[in-house]
Amino acid sequence: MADVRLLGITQRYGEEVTLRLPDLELDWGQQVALLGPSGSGKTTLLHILAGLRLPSQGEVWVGGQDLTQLSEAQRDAYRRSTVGYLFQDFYLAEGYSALENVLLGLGVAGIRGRAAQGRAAEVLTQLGLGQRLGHAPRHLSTGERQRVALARAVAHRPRLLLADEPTAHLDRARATTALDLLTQTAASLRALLVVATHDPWVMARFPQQIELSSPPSAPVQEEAR
Amino acid sequence: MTLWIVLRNLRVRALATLLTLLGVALATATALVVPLVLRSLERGAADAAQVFDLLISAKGSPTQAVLSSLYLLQPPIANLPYATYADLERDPRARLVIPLGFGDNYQGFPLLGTNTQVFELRLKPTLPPYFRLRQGRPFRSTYEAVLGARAAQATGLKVGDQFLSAHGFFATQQEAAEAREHHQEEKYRVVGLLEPTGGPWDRALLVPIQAYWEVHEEGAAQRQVTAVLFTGKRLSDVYQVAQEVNRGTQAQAVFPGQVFAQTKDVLLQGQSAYGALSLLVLFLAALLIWQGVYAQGLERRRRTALLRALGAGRGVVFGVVLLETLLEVAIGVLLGILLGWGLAALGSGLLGERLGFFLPPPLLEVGLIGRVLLLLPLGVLAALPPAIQAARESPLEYV
Repeated sequence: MADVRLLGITQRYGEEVTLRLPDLELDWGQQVALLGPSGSGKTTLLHILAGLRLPSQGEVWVGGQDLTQLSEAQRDAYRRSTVGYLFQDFYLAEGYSALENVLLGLGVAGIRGRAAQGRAAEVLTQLGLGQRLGHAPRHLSTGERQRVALARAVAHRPRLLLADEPTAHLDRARATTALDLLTQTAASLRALLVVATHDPWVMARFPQQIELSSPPSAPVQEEAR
Repeated sequence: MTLWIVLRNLRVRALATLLTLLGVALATATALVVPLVLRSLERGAADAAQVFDLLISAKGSPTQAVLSSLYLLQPPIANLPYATYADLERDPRARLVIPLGFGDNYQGFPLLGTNTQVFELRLKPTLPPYFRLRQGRPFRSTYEAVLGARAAQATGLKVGDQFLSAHGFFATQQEAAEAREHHQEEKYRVVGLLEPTGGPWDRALLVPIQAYWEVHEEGAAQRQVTAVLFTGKRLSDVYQVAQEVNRGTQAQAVFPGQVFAQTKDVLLQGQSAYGALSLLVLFLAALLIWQGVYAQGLERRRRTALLRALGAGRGVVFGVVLLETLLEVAIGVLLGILLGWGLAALGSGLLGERLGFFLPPPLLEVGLIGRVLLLLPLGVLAALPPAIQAARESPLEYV
C-alpha cells in the first residue's frame, strides 16, 4: 500500500464552487510536480496534505493514518513531525535572523537547545548561508530568503516536503539552483517531495507529474519520464 | 519555547515595546513616588510623636505644644515652673521624666536642654532605644553635648569639637544667621553623635538641662523648663497623670500620638487627591497597553499564523500573545517600582534637607505595590481578546 493516498477528495468553497481532486498514491522518496492553472487546486492539495485543511469529502492517508479522522491537535502534531512546507512567499519571520527562523521551525517541532543550534547552522551552511546566519530576511536576496525558508522546511527532517511555486520569484538560473537544492535535500531525507507549479519548465524537470485542470478536475495523469 | 518566541517578538517590535515599557514604568513611578515620600514623612513624624507618651507644657494649644516641643517648628508657648517638673520627677508612677528646655541655638540648630533619660526612650519596649549613639557617649557633665544626625552633618561638628551657643529659637537657619549673637563664654564639647531617627530631633543638639539653667543664669529659685516628657510605669498611670495636670491652671498634658493623628489628616490632605490622580495615570497606562496590543493587529496575526502553519497548537499561540503583553507590563511595572523608589528616596532626601531631619528610606508597602500591580490584570485583559482570536483563527487566513 502506498505511503500517501488521497481518495475521493472534494473541496467545497461556499455553496457553488466545488473542487474535485484526483486520487493519488505516492511513496516516500518520490518527487512529484503538481501542475495546473490558478484555481485548479494545487495549493489546496498541498494544504490538505499538510493537514492545514480538511477536505469536504474524501480520505487522506499519510503513513497509515487518515488525516481526516485526526483531531486538530493531532494534525498539529503530524505537521510538526512529518511535514516540511516551503511557502510561495517564503513566509519568514521578519526581524528574526536566518538562524532564528530555522530555530523557530525546529523549536515548534520540539528540537531545542544546542542540538537545534547545531542542526540549524549545519543546514543553513549546507545551503550556502553559513556566512549569513545572523542576517534578518530583509537583508537577504530573494534567493537567500528562499534558501532560509527551505532550511526551515527541512531542518527537522520531515518525511513529506511540500513546495508551493518554489521558483515563482526566481530567474531561470536561480530557479535551476533552487530546484536542485530542493530535489537533492528531499533525496537526502528520503522524503516525498510534492512541488506545485504553474510553470511547464519546472514540471519538465520532475520524473513524475500530476496535472490539475480547473474544476471539474481532470483524471490523474502520471507518467514516468 | 514560548518564552523564546515572546522575547524575539518583543525584540522585533523594539520601538513599540520600548514605548510601552516606558509608559508603564513612568505611570507606575508617578503613582508611587509621592505616596512613598509622604509615607516616609508620615512615618518619621509618627514615630517622633509616638515615642513620647505624654507631653506636659504651659497651657495653650496642644498642637502648638507638639509642634514646638517635639517637631521644633514653632517657638515654645511659655515656660513651666521648675516645681511642675520636680513634682513629676518625684511621682511614684513615673518611669521616665524628661525635662525640655529651649531657647538657644547653634548655627540655627536648636539646643535642647534635657537629661540622660532621653536616651532610654523606645517606640516599643521590645525595640532598641529611639535615640541611639552612632559615636561617643551620652553627656555626663554640664557643658557636654550630643548632636542629632542632621545637626552634626550640617554644622560639621565632630566628637571632641567645641562650640558656643547663641540665644534664640529659630525655625530656620536664615533667621538664625540674621540674629546670631554670642550667648555664653563656656563652650560646649561634643561627646556623642546620634544615629538618624527620621524625626525632627535630628536637628537638635542635646545638652544637659543644667547647662540651660546656668547659661540663662537661673538660680534654684528661678529655674524653669519649657516642657516635660512623662512616661508612666503603666498606661493607666499616664492617663491619671494627664488628668491631674489638666485639672491644674498652669500646665496642660497632651498625648503627642493623638495630636499627630488629628493633625495628620490636615497636613496630608493632598494625599487622597494625589491617590485619585495616580489611579488616573495608571488608567492611562492601561490604555497605552491596549493601544499597543491592538496596534500590532495584522503583524501579530501573521506571526501567530506562521506558528500554527509550522505545527504549533492553539494553546501555544494563545500563550505567546498573552505572555508578550504580560511580560511587557510586568517589566514596565518592575522598572516603574525601581524608578519610583529611586525618585522617592531622592525626594525624601531633598524634603528631609528642607525640614532639617533625615526621613526614613521609602518603604514599599503591600498596598502601594498592589495598586500598581493592578496593571497586570489590565494587561491580561487587553491581551485576552487578541490571544483568543489568535488561537481560534485558521493559519490559512494569512498563509
